[in-house]
Formats: sequence, structure tokens, C-alpha cells
Amino acid sequence: MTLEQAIPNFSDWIGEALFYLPLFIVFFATTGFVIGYLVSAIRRGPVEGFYAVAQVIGSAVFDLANTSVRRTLAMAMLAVQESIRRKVLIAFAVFIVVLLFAGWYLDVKSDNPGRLYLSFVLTSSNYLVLILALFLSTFSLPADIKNRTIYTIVTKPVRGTEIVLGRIIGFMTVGTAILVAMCLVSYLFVVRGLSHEHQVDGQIQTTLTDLAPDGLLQGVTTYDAHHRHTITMYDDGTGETDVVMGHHHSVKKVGGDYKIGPPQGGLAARVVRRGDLRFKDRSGNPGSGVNVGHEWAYRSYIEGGTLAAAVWTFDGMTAGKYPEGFNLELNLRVFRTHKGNIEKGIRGSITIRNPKAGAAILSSEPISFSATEFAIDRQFIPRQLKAIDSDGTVSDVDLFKDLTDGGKLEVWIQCSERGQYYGMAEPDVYVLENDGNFAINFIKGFVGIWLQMLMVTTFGVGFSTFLSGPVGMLATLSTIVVGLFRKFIVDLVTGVLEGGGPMEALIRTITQANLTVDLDIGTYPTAVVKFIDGVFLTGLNLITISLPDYAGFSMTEFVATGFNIEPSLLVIHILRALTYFVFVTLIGYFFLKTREVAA
Amino acid sequence: MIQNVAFQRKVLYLGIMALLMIPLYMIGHPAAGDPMAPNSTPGGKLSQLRTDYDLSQAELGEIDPASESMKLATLGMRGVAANILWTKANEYKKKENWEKMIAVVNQMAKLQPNYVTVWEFQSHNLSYNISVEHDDYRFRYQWVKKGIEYLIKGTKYNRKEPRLFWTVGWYTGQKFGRADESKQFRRLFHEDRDFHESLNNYVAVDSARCDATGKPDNWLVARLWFNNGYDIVENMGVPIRGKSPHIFYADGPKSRMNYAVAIEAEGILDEKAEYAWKQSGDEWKTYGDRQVPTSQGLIIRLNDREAKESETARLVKQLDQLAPGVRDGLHQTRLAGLTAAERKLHDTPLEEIQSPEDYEIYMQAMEKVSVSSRDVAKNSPQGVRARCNKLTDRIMAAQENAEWVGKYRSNVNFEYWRTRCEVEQKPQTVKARRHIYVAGQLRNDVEVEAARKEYELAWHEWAEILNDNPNLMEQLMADDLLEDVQAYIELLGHLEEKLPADFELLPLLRMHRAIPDEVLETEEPDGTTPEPDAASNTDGKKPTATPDEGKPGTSEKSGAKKPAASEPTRAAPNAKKPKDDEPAGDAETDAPPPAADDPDTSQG
Repeated sequence: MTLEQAIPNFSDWIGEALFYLPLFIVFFATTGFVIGYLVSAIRRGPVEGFYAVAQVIGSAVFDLANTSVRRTLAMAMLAVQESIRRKVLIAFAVFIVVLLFAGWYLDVKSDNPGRLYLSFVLTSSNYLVLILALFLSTFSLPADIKNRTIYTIVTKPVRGTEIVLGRIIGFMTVGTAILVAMCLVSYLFVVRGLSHEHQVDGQIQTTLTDLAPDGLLQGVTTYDAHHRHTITMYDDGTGETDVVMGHHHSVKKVGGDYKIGPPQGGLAARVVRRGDLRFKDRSGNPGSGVNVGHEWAYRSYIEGGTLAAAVWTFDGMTAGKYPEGFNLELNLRVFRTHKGNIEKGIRGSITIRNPKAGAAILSSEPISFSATEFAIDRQFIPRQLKAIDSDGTVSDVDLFKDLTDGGKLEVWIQCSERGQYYGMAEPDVYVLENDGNFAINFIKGFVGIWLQMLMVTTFGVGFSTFLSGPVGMLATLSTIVVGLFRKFIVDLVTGVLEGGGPMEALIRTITQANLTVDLDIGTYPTAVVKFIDGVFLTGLNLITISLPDYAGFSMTEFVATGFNIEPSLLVIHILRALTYFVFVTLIGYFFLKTREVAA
Repeated sequence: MIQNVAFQRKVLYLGIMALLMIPLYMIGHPAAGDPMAPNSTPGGKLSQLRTDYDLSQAELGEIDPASESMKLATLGMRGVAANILWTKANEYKKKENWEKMIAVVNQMAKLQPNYVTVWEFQSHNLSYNISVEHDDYRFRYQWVKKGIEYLIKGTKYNRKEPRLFWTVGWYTGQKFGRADESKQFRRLFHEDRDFHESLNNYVAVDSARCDATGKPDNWLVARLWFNNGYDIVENMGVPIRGKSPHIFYADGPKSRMNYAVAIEAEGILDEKAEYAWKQSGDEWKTYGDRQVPTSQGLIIRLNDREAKESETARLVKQLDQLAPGVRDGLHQTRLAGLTAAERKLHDTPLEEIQSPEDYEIYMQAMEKVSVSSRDVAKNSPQGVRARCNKLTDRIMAAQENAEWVGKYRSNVNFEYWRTRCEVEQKPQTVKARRHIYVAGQLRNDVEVEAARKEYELAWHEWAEILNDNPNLMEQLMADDLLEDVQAYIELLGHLEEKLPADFELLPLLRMHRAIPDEVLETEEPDGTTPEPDAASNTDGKKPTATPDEGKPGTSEKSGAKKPAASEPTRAAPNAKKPKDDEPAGDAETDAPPPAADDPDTSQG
């Protein structure tokens, strides 16, 4: 399985962000000023109101400039103590209980238990930590205000910024400690859960079955952890098993015995280079691939035995990076229009081409392969390749010298069998740079959770500066729900999801009309319903795009599918989270400032 | 004072709560001890109702703490949670995320372990729909297995649901044995000792080993699962839901027949194949002796048709003896009442009637002149009329029974399989099949002449078999022999020859319209034009089941027969010949089971 998540290009993203950020600051400041002035004017009159707003802004500048790290940390310490008093460690205990009973609910016979375990630990940690942050951050300040214990603080020379920041830092400290513990326990859970040993079952002997037509030395392992492997030995006394349940083992002959190593490949962090995909149709002209009738149109298909091809263009392909050649990993789909030979995969070819028109050597000779579905098929493309010159002679060429143009290189994949199809999407084929460190990738996955916790805490503290505890909690919960279901809301607003807004949905529910039929309530009532829904959805859309996309911050899929979380993606997430942190903290500060307790 | 009031209020509340606990306890407290023991208590009303209606989890199947805790954790929103999971499963299936899909499907089953449709639907999804999404047949096999394992898990939670046991048998037999990849699936199944070990916890896999290979066979394992389902119905008194009993009980014995067919196709063509067919025949006979309730409430046995028909004939004879000449007299009177056109067609042999209009008039005439036993009784002399009426009642009952048996037999192709079992266990049939198998092997090795000789030996054997069992002509040959003949014709084509005009199986080909003119020699070796239908039999006898091409409304099995005056003709006017390409009644049993409103039809 490959990663279907699109990864934004950092330079594109930062360019866009730097363009929009000043606009947003201006909009934010202006809106804040106007609303603040209006409220103040209503309460104090237009002139006095203006002075009051100006005073708040002035004091805010003063407070910001004079915020003391020492006092902020002291406030944070208080928040930590308060959290411990409120028995936040229960969250960790719940997590341990969840892990203890996880075996009841997890499918131990899954085709890829690693993926399942990783998804489970990351998702459960994520939800638990968000709930923890929600409850910690929203009830603290309102309880202090209600109990009047806030006066013991505000009567001291503590600034509003320090109160807000101190709470956020304090709660984040506690949350971080718990998250670190969860990360550690999760890692052990996954590694221990997947750890197993096999022995050789029976004998290793020469086989001539259809599975090993070359008559290799083959055998099988014992049945452990709900599976067994087939062993293939090579002449040099080393060997390996096939991939079952997402992993394989290395085998070594020691004396007369065979030693089977620990599982490999189940917990990976592949560092990959991705390319841009384009298609050629059956006549060799630029096209878009064929839809073979699958409901999910994520992949496009190319027809076998024609000129149709899927072409990936990779950048940065240099001899310095890949001195011996490179590993190309494929995750293609196959669609057969006739049965063909059931026991054989559909054959295809990989051709390396120079993207430069009119290059002396345009392409390598096709490299044959058989497609493997739902498993990563690694093909090594050697540095030295055969190529056909324009005059038809076959010669040896150097991959990087003769077939790249400024580090650019094209990989053409074609299906060779008439009437059969290959299916692919852009992330399905990539160059494997190296196998990264899984533990670090796992930690990066938890950094994604930490960033979500930071935003929930910030929003929670922000809301608690002007709302009561329960209301603040509901408001923060709403931001989480909207953030987690952002795609649903966007699809609803853009019409991708049928059924209309709340009014239309209610009418359809009552009249039992399904989503695809027209609303049969007359022209004018329909127009009214659509208008009301339109206003609601537009408002919802504005709120949605202003709030953090929590689901987008989750990097669980990267960790679970074994792909390295690219540093650029991590930086993008960190910058986004920090932006929310700064703005929501400022809003919180201003609200606190307007309350009598801290005025 | 205020503190006192608060305290009193608390005491009051606690008191009310304690009082409420009493009826709650009386209604809900569980049963204690062995129900058969003298000092056991039956529990509260709810507990008793659960026991009466077999609703407690312990009665239904295995108690799973994970399942129970999940049910509790949903706080009464189990249905909603199951719906969300169902939607997610569909989404994961659409996006080919199989690991998550199966994980969700498992969670769903834990939430609603006694909702049988979930097990049936999702196992079908795994075994039929997801398996075919994989290109590698080994992956496909694994997914078929996952569906079966899922169903088996369902049987643990629902040990009183014969449908689930039956479905395990169906998948194990049909999906491994009939899919496009059945050759590969059966091979993988034979070798899959881990799966055999896990199956051993539920069925005695050792008793389902192939005699020739010594390895478990999917058809025989399927049979064991069907038998488990039958045991539940017979021993636990659980009704069969959603399936007619005669179809439900047919699949066990049929699995053994399918096993015999499969091993023969794999080249096991010796006494082991004969024995497999003999066992199949014995089981089919036992099946025929099983009492089957009809939809009208009549209890029948499929083996009884012949006995009921002879009983009818014997009683009709007794009736005619009691009221001598009445039947003939009535017949003559009615004959005299026919119009000239009706009379003319009445006297015309059925074979000579060509147009549908004439046939209709003919049938009307036959109906008009037919004399039922009831008519005879009504017109019998006064002194014996009461006895005649009693006899008529018995005749009608026997006829009705025979008719129901006939209908139910056609549903499961009873006679075809009975005859086939009888024929296939004969050494001559196995020999004929061996010749065809060897011919196929030789053809693959391009040993054309040797293959041709083997084919000719096979045709000779088959011609003799068909002569002895003409009723096999209609369906048995359609199964596989026609394909073999087609392969033979192709082989002759490679030799630039046509099918000889004296080809011994020509009547069979003509019956099934499987002989294009261009592949047949037009003249006999002596230069004469061959007689249609007469060329085949070595002893010169024409097979009794003559082809009835172009004849309107011939009877179901043995060709149209002109009804005798003394025979009732109730079934004849509506009788239709089954289509050649659809073996009557077998369609239901060989099609995949209804996949509970599954929009994704099986591709495998």
C-alpha cells in the first residue's frame, strides 16, 4: 500500500503563506479594532470608547514588551501543579488500559499487523491527548475566576500575557510529559507486538514447483504469530523468506543449521523521491489514462499492447546520489479484460528516457517485469543500461550521463499484454532514496499529535478568558470537530456531497427523499431553502477555513504505511501551528484584558 | 434545621432508590445453578424470557468479553455505531484499503455478533468481492479463506444458525471448487495444513481426505460443514430459515458428487473414482429417503415417486374393476362430443402435429375426452359408489404426492444425479473418462494421432453407456461431454478432417444442436446420405429419448407421450421442455448463494 496523501511543496507553500499572512494580520487587526471599538462605544460612548480601546492597545504593547519569562514560567508552574492536582495522569492510565486490552480488538491475523498497530497507537494517543488538553485548558481559568483565586494572582505584578502564556505553557508541559510517556509505551507495544521468531519447519530442499521454477533450495518456517514463510536459500549460504504480513526474515546457514533472523521491513520509514506523472494514450499522444469502471477514480489505467504509457518525471537524479543505480518501487494495479494465464502476473516494461527532446540517446532498452498488486515491488535500475541509438544499434549507456537532462529523468511504464491494463496514481511509483530510521519517524508522528495538542490548549485557554468552563469546552470541542471533519464540510459546501445543507437535509429526512432526487417542494420554497442553506454553509465555510485542520496535522498514515515524514512537511505543520498559537494567544490576552479581573 | 432537611431529603432519595432496586432485582436477576438441578433458581422474568426464547448470549453462542464490552461502551448506540462502521467498511473497500476494511468488519461483528446477515454479507464481501480484486491467485485464495474464517467465527457466536454452517460449506465447496481458479485453489487447499489444523477445531478434517492423495479435499470438508448444519436442525430442533428443506439437504450429498467430478477431472480415474461415485449414490439415496415438508404441508420423500405412481396405477385398476366399463363408456361419449376438427387431430399421432394452433386443438380434445377417476366414481353404480369414492380419494392423494415429488425432484435435478451416480460408478464409465483424460493430455503434448485414437475409444465407450442409459442424453452430456466432442472436432480440424458421418455420438450432438453442418461429413463412406438420428447406436436401436426439436409443448423428461384414455392428463398441456442450455432445477443449487442484497455481484 502506498501513501495517498499529497505532500505540499515547501517553497510553493511558504511563498503563498508569506503573501497571505500580512493580509491576514491587517484583516485581523482591523476587525479586532472595529469590533473592540463598537463594543466599547456602546458601553462608554464614542469618544471615551475610542480612548478605552486605544488604552488597551497601548497597554498591550507595553505588556508584550515587558513580558517576563520568569513570571511566565512561574505561572506555568502553577498550571502544572493545578493539572497534577486535577489528576491528569488518569489520561495516561486510561491509555495503558486501552493498550492492555488492545489485543481483544486488534486483528492479529491482519495482512499487515504493523500498519494496524501503528494506526491504533497513534490514533488512540491522538484522541486521548486532545481530550486531555480540552479539559485541562478550558476549565482552569474560569474556575479561578469563579473561585476568585485569580485575585491572588492579578493583585501581584503579573501581566495578562503572562497569565495566558503561563497557562498554555503549563498545560503543554503536562501534556508533553504524558505524550512522551505514551510515545515510549506505544513504541514498545508495537515493537514487542510484532516481534516473533521462526524456526525451519521440516527440511530445506531443492524444489521444482511452480513457485521456484529454477529449482532453488526452498523450505518453510514454523507457524508462529499466525503465519509462516517460505524460505529461499542462495548459493552463498544466505537466504531470505517471502514477505508475509508485511515483513520478511533473513536466513543464514550456520554449520548444518539454518538461523532465521528477526522480522524486517514491517516497521519502515522509506525516504523517497517523488515524481510528476503524465499519461500517453494508446496512440502515444498525451492523454489522461483510462477509467476501467472503478467507483474510486484515484487511479488511471493504461492499455496493454499499445503505445499507452505512464510517465514519471523525477528531478535531482544524479550520479552522486545514486552511484550504482537506483531502486524504483512500484505499487501498480492490474485490470484484466480476459483471464489470460492465471498463474502468471501481467507483464510490462520499464523504460528510462531522457526528457530532452533531440537527445543523442533517447531511451534505454525496456526492462521487463511482472506486476505485483497490493505489495511494494522493488526494481533496481542499474547505472549501466542498454540503449538503442537512433540508427538502431544497441549500445551500453550510463544512466546519468546519457539519459538525464540536468538531473531530470523519465520513467516510462507500459503494459505489454494486449487486453490487459495497468493502473496507477502519482504516488504509486517513486525512487527509494534509503530506508530511514523508524523510531525517528515514529517520534515525528507524535510531533504531529503534539502540535494538535498545542492548538487545542491554545484555543481552550483563549476561550476560557471570556467564556465559562462548560461553554469554553464546547467552543473548543467545536473547533476540534470542525477541524477533524474539515473535508466533509468543504465537500458539503462545494457540492461534492449531495443532499444540501441542514434545511434541505431535514426536509429530505421528513419526506424520505433520497440524496439524488430533486427537492419536490415547489420552486419558491426550494429557492428559499437553498438560500438559507447557502447562507449557513457560507458561514460554516468561513469558520472552517479559519480553524485549524486537525486531520491534516495527523501524520499517522506516513508512519503506518512506512514512509518517512519529510522535514519540509513537518516545518509546514509547525509554522501553521505557531501561527494559530500566536493569534489565539493574542485574542485571549485582549479578552482577558477587557475583563474586570485583570484590567 | 436546614442541614436536617437536606439530610432527610438524602435519606428519602436513598430509600426510594433502594425500593426501586427491589422490582428491578425481581425482574432482572440472573438464573443460578444448573437448570436441571433441584435447588437452582430460574432467575427473574427477563432471565426466564431470555431462556424461553433462547436469547441469552450463552444460549446463542460463545460469550466474548471484547464483544460484550464493546456493546456496553456504545451506551445503547450500538445500531448507530454499526451503521458508521458499515459505511466505513464500504469506503475502505472502495479505496482498496483491505487491512482497515477487515478490521472494521471484525469490529462490526463484535458489536452485533448475533445479526446473522452481517456475517453472511461481509463474508461474501471478503470471499467473493475482495478476493477477485487481487491479481495473484494466491492472494485470492487467502481472501476466500478470510471470508470462510470470518463465517466460522460467526458460527461460534451463533451455534444455532444452520444457515451460517451451510454457508461455510457452500463457500468451502463452491468458491474453492468452482471459481475460475479452482484448479489452483484446490491445489492450495490440499497443501494448506495450517488451515486444516484450524478447521480441525470445528470439523473432522481427517475424515475429509481424498482417497488418492491422502490430503483434505475442499468438497469433502464442505460436506462436513453442511452436515453440521443438518445436525443443528435435526438435533436442536432449529427451523431452517430462508431455504427449502429439500434444497438445504441436497448440498451435503452433492458435495460428495462434486468431489467425485473434481478428482476425475484431476486424473484420478480408477477404482477410487468409482468408489467416490458409489458413496455419492448411497448418500443421494439416503437424501431421497429424507422426509421433506412441502409448501402445502404435505410430507414427501423424493425416492417415493415411482412407488406412488405404481400405487396410483394399482388403485386405478381396482377402481375400474369395481366400476367395469364406466371409464370406457365415458370416454366414448366424450369422444363422440368432439368437433370434426378436434376428432381429426385427436386421431393424429402427436409426432405428426406441426403447427402450434393444431397442437392447441389437439390438447383441448385430449382434455375433453380424458376421464378422471373422480368421473368414474361419480358415474359408478350406486351399490359401489361409496367404495369408488374412497378409492378415488386414495388415487388423488397418491397422485398429488407423486406430483409434489416430481416438482421437488426437478428443483434439485434428483433423477439426473441419481442416474449419474449409478452410471459413473461403473468401471466402463470411468474407463471412458480415462480415455478422454488421456486424449486431452496427448493433445496438449501435440500427440495428435494418439489423442485421436484415445478419443475414438472414449466415444465407443460413451455410445454404449448412453445406449444403456438413454435418459443421460439430456443433461449429463451437456455438462462436459459436448466440450470434449468439441475438442475432438478441433483436433480433427488440425488433421484437416471432418467429423465422420457415422460418429457414434451424433444423436447426442443433434439433441443439443451442437453440430454445425460444416464440421460433419455429408456422406457415409459408402456414398449414401446418413439417416438423421439413426447412425449412432452400435446395436441399431434408436435411443428412447428422441430429440423433440421444433415440437411444441413436449413433456418434461421423456418426450411427449400421447395420453391414454384412462390416464389423467392434468400436467400435459402446460408441460414445457427445459431449455437446452439450462439443466432444469440445477440453476439454484449451482449459483452462488443470495448475497443478501449485495450490489457487488461475485466476479469469481
